[in-house]
This record gives sequence, C-alpha cells and structure tokens, in this order.
Amino acid sequence: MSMTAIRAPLLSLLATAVVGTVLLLVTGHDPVVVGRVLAERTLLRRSGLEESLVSMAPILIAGLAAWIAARVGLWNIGIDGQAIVGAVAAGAIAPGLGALPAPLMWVTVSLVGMASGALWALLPAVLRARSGINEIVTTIMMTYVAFSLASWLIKGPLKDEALVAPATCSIDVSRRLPDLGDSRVHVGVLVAAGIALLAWGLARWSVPGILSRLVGEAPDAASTLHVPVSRYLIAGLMCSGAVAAFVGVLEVLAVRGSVQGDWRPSLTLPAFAALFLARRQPAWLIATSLLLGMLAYASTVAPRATGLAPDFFPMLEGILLIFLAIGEWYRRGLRADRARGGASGAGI
Amino acid sequence: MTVLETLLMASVLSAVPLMLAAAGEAIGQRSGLLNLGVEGVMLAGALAGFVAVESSGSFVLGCGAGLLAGGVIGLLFGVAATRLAASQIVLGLGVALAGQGGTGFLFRERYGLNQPLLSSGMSRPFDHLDGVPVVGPMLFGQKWFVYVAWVAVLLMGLILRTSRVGLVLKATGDSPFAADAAGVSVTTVRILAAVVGQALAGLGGAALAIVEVGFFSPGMTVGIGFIAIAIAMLGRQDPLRIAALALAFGVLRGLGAALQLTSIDIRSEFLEMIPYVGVIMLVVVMGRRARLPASLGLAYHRGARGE
Repeated sequence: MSMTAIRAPLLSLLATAVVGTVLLLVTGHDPVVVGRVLAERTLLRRSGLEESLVSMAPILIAGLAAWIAARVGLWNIGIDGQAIVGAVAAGAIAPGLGALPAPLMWVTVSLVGMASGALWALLPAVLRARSGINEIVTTIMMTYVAFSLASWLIKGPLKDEALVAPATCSIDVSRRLPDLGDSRVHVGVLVAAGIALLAWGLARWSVPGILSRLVGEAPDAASTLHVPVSRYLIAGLMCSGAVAAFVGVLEVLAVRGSVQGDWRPSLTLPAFAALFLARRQPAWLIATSLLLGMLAYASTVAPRATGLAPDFFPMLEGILLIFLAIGEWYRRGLRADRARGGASGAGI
Repeated sequence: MTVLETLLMASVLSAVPLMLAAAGEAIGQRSGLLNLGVEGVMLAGALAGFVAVESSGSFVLGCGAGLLAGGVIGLLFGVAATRLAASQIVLGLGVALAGQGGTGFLFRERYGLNQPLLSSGMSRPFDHLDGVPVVGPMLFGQKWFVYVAWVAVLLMGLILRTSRVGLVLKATGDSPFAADAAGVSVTTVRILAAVVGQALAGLGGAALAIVEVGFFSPGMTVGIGFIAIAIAMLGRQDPLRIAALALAFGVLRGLGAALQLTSIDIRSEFLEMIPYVGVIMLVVVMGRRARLPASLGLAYHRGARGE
C-alpha cells in the first residue's frame, strides 16, 4: 500500500475533520473538549473500545453487502430493509428452537435470516437483470416497505405478550452468541471480520469472484465471453441481501436477543462511507468500519458527555462521503463507469 | 366535508412537495446530472423554511429560505459533479446522509428536545368559494402556496417543451459533445441546472414543513426524496407528466388520511406502505418505458469522445 493510494482517503478524513471542527465552533461547542471527551470514551477506556468493536460489526457487514453488489456493478441502497427482514425472520424462529443445541440453533437462525434477506433483494435483482430497471430506487422502496411490515409484525403477530413495549420473544442469555473472554465483545464481531477476509479471498482467487468483477466493470465483454451476466447480477444482489440480513441475525443472536419495535437500522449510507474510505477493498473495510464504529458509539455517548446531538455523527459521515466522491482516487472508478456506459443502467 | 372531499383536498396538497422535488430532479436529469441526494436537499429546505417562518412569521421568507438552502447545495453539487468530475452517485449518497444528519443536528442545536409548531397557518385566498360540492375544497380551499406550486410546475413544463432553454438543457444531457460543439458551455448549463433543480427540491421540502404539516421533525421526508427520483425518471423528465404522477401519489397518501376518517379498520402500517408499494408497482409496469438522457450520471470531458 503506497502512500499515494491512501492519500485521497486520508485527505478526505482530514477535510471532514476540518468541516466538523468549524461546525462545532459555529454552534458554540468547544472542539477540543468534544474531541478529548470522545477520544477518551471510545479509545482510552477499555469499555469504550469494546463498545466501538460491537458497533463496528454491523457497519462492517453492511459495507461487505454494499461491496458484493458493487462488485457486479450494482448499488444496493436497500441494506437497511434486508437487515430488518433478516432480524424479524431470526426473531420469529429463534425462540421456538429451544430443543436444538445452541450452536445448531445459531447456524439455523443465520441461514433462515440470510435467506430472507436474499429473498427481499430478489425483486429488485430480477427487475434489474431482466428489464434493466435501475436497482437504486427499487431497493430503497423495498426498505420502506420492510420497515412498515416489520413494525406491523413486531407489534402484532410476533409480539411478546409478556412485555408492554413491542418486541419479539427474547432468547435466553445463555443461548446467545458468547462474548470474547470477559469482554462485552460478542463472537459475531470476529465472524464479521472472518467473512470480510473470506470475501476478499473468494473475490481474488475463485472463478465466480473474478468473473463477477468482469461483469461489474465490462458487462459487454462478459457477455461476449458467454458469462451469464444476468445470472451474476441476480446472484450478486441476492448475496448482498443475504449478507445484509446477517446484521439483523446478529441483533437477535448477540446484541438484544430479540427485535425491538423501535429498531430501525440506518446503515446503508454509513456502509458506503466505510466502503469508499476503504477504497473498495474488503480487507481495509475492517479498519474503516472500526473507525465508523467508533463514530457510531460516540454518537450514543455524545449527548450526555458533551451535549452534542447524535445526528452530528451521521452528518460527518455524509460529509466524508462527499469528500471521498471528490477525492482523486475516485477518478479511476469514473473511467470504469464510462466504460460501463453509465452507472445508471439501461432503464430507470 | 365528506370523506371524498377530504381525500381530494389532501391529495392536491400532499402532491406539492413531491411534485416540486421531482420537477427539480427532472431539470438536473435533463442536463445529465443524477442527484440521489434529493432527500437531504428536501430536509435542508424544510429546516430552513421552518426556521425562517418560525422566527419571522412570513411564509414568503420561508419559501425563499427553502429555495436558497436547496440552491446552495445545488451549486456545490453542480461544481463537484462537473469541474471536479466527482462520482454523482457517491456525491448524492453523501448529500442524502449529510442532509439527514445535518438537519437533525442543527434542529436539536436550536430547539433542543422541543417540537415547536408554527403558530399561524397560510391564508386560503379562495375559501369563500369552497362550498361548491365535491370539488370545492380541492379547488378553492387550498393554501395560497398550493396554487403557486401547481402553476409554477405547469409553466415549467411549457417552458421546457417549447423554449430554447428547454432544448439547450436537453442537448446537454443527451449529447454533451454536440451541445459543446454548438457553443453551449456544458459545465455552466449543468451547474445552473443543479442550482435551479435543487432549489426546487429545497422549496418542496419547505412546502412539506410549512405548508403541509406546520412543523419540522428530523427525517420527516421519509423517502419522498427518493420517490421524487423515481417519479422524475418515470415521467421522462417532463414536468407535466411528473405533475400527473405526483397527483397520483398525492391520492395514495391522501387515501391514508381519508381512510382513518372512516370506520374501515386497517392497520396504519399498511397505510404507510401504500406509496412505496405504489412506486414499485409503477416501476414494474412503466419501467421499460422510462427514458433517461444518454449522458445521465457521467462527467463530461471535452475531447474524450470515441471512448
């Protein structure tokens, strides 16, 4: 990794920090105090570091989902919807699997959850592959439908009647994914990092991995070579949906033990920030999602520690995305866009 | 008012934010710019408009603030997408996220956990006529901005269809090389289109906050910005078609409001879903017929022809 390669991401981070500092000054916060408090809470305390690692897992997984779709040239903007579908599916079946040994239950719940997420991506995938209908709008619309559907299921058919607040039935703490050592970091974080390395390896060394890149960057060349392009597009978006759903599976198996009625993942855009900061490399995604995980955890402690509204941090991520888009690194990606005949697909 | 009258009136009103945002997006798309950040621009316009009305009491100032907020974002977007050749998709996602987060942050900075409401509503210039049965409230019972918005969008449709401005815009999006050769500055046209288009999206957001509901809450657009992108594409970037589609969505949204007045028992979650399911169905039915400018989403590089 040469210095030039990471110059644009580093400059983008720096520019974001500058804008954030100016905004803090304008709104009457002391950037030094805010910075010191948040650094201390997320980095210097063991509990903060652990919580940041826990917050990193969903961003890492969502970033991988974004990457898998981007690999075949698609934009999966519906990660949140697929995640909540995965969570609801996991929350629906996990409490009923009491007879299974815990590890077998984890595998079953993961598979069912991920299959549900893949199915939630099926319609946008088929529309894109068969009719050339752009997947950006359809995946977002599917997210809003998923949110309403999940909200109805959690308040209605799947509600735990023993509780007042709407939530699905909880699984016992002893049957959740264990924590690492005596920390609060659950095993799911390691699984997520493992999946990232696996994805990186498969993309580099497996035949479908290499062909998916061809489909993404030169679909015409791919069809000339008799690569089944539309099958790759459908499989790519469905795999992306399955991985996204794993966020929801972890929510049930590790974080909360159930789906709460107010759980609304908003990971899609942060996932793209992590992915572009990582220069679309899954292995680097581990590092960048840790950074964004710290921001995510900071947004939960900031209101009480510094009086800063939590929305400050998603705003920083958005500004980071803007700078990354402008950053010189992306110009290489732009050439690929042009070769592809536009990022907008054939139809809407 | 009867249920039908309420439905019709609410449809025409709730079509306004979507229609303005989609018409603005259409101007950008015609010139070759795909802005995925409409949601963030609308929220910025909504907050600016709300703060302006809340502090000055003037709805005209509120509309101006919405236009200004959108226009400033449009200027930055336009420059980044043309002169800096930044990826429009990544830029748009960034604007969406920064807009959602930034408006939430600034709103909390200013109002804390309060949820202030506007103390007065907009005047209704023709409401002495709204006794006409069925269509009376829909046609004459609206706030003045609703008339302004509908007239503006219909005028825009005529201008784009018949004037030189419309042709230049279309040429820039469909064939930037030809437009450049004919002496049109592609960069200037695109930046101007971004400014005007996103100013309209900001106005749409302001309309949502100050005309339709009378308050601001973080994330209040709940996807209208993304629906606007779909409507602009399905309406082939034509404001007249867009107005018709937006009205159809106004009916879908109004349906929810009207159904709650009846004794029909339907879960609110299903009412919320209606517009999004509607877009998906519309895309499935009309998607193949949507037309996009040939250079949409692509930066223009003079002399890069023959790629």
